[in-house]
Amino acid sequence: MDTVLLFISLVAFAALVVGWMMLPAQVPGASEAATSAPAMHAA
Amino acid sequence: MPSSATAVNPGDTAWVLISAALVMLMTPALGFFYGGLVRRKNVLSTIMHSFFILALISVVWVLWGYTLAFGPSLGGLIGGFDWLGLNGVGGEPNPDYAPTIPHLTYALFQMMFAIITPALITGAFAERKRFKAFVIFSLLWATFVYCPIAHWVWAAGGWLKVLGALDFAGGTVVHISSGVSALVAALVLGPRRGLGEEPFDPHDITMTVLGASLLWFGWFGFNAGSALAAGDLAANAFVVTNTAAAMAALTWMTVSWAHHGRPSVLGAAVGAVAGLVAITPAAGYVTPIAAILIGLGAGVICYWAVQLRTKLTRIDDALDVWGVHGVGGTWGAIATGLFATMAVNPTAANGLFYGDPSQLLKQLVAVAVTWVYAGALTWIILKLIDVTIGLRVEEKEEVLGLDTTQHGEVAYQL
Repeated sequence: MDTVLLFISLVAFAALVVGWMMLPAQVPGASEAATSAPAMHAA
Repeated sequence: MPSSATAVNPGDTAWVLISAALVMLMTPALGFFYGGLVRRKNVLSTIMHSFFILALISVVWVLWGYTLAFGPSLGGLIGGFDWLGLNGVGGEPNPDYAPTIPHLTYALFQMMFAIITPALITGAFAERKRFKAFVIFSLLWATFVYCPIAHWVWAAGGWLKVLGALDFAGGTVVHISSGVSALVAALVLGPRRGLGEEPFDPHDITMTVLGASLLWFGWFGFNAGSALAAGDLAANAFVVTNTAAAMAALTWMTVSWAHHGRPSVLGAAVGAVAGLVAITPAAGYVTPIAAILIGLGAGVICYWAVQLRTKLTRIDDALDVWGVHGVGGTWGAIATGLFATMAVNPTAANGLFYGDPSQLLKQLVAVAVTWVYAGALTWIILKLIDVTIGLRVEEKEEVLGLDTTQHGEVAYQL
């Protein structure tokens, strides 16, 4: 049983790592929001 | 003279005393965890819930809490009054509970569990409950909900303990009881004014991450301290606690990232707490590999429990106590029935995956009983308070914020 659980754990962790590589790296629209924030502050 | 079987061991005593201090830290840490999640006008009142309970239950536990929870059993249902005021609880070990530490040390360690449990519920009624109502609720809940369940599960002669249900550090006693009670509290109080119409964003996520980090730190005392000795079982509990928290943080963040398109800092922090909750009942019975799977399950199940509660209901469990503690505790209790192995703890039992399906049934009984009892008693207590002193603040007070209207103070002079 321990070997089966180890195998499942390895697969699950590998899936997470692959997910991090595949998922979007930037929040949509965040760049525009970030550049406008200082301007709002100055205003 | 005590017999050699119950002689005080200095190493064990030091470990449990330090663990009690670690668990104590968790309650103010919870205050910061919750405090960062509310709006600026309610941060003090939210922190005060945890800080006040630290003081309140410390006194209750000495007066009558410990004897009700752990006193000589009356039919497996509740403790007798033999140890009222901690009378008779002294330096000699009690072999029924911990044969190598003073009985007083055991009572102190358990006090910290009794403190944090009602504090967990406060996340559900944040930003709208009257302070007086909160005080009375905490007092009644600790007495009539926490003490009986602790007795059933942990006390010598407690009926769930006799049945064989396993709960190493409080999956049922602490997390299911508080999580289910939180859901009932949110239902009875109703949603916060303006929910769905105005932003309810956390006012300080840095505070929440600090709180989660301190909770993680304190949880080593919570789980590894529950071995009640400085030995191999404590080491196992320490490792699996850290492992499950880490895996759940990674998993929650990843699921949230896939769902919302961003790796949320708040998601990682809440995920870690969900993993800590889920490993709590299992910490003394499972291997590190099982802890990875328990953390994985906590990250997925608790995340979707929170999402579904939000999408499908109008129940305003403001800080997701049910999704994290109620559901996480339930998953942990069930996982104990799946992954427990006597290779880790020869005095316990094997779970389904190690050849004993009956253990899973015992875990399910403990889960169901805790859900029903905690839910029903919480509803009764809240209704009694509502018809006497009232549960909610008035609309104007809620709009102005509880810091000003309940405590006459503000958190930030900006």
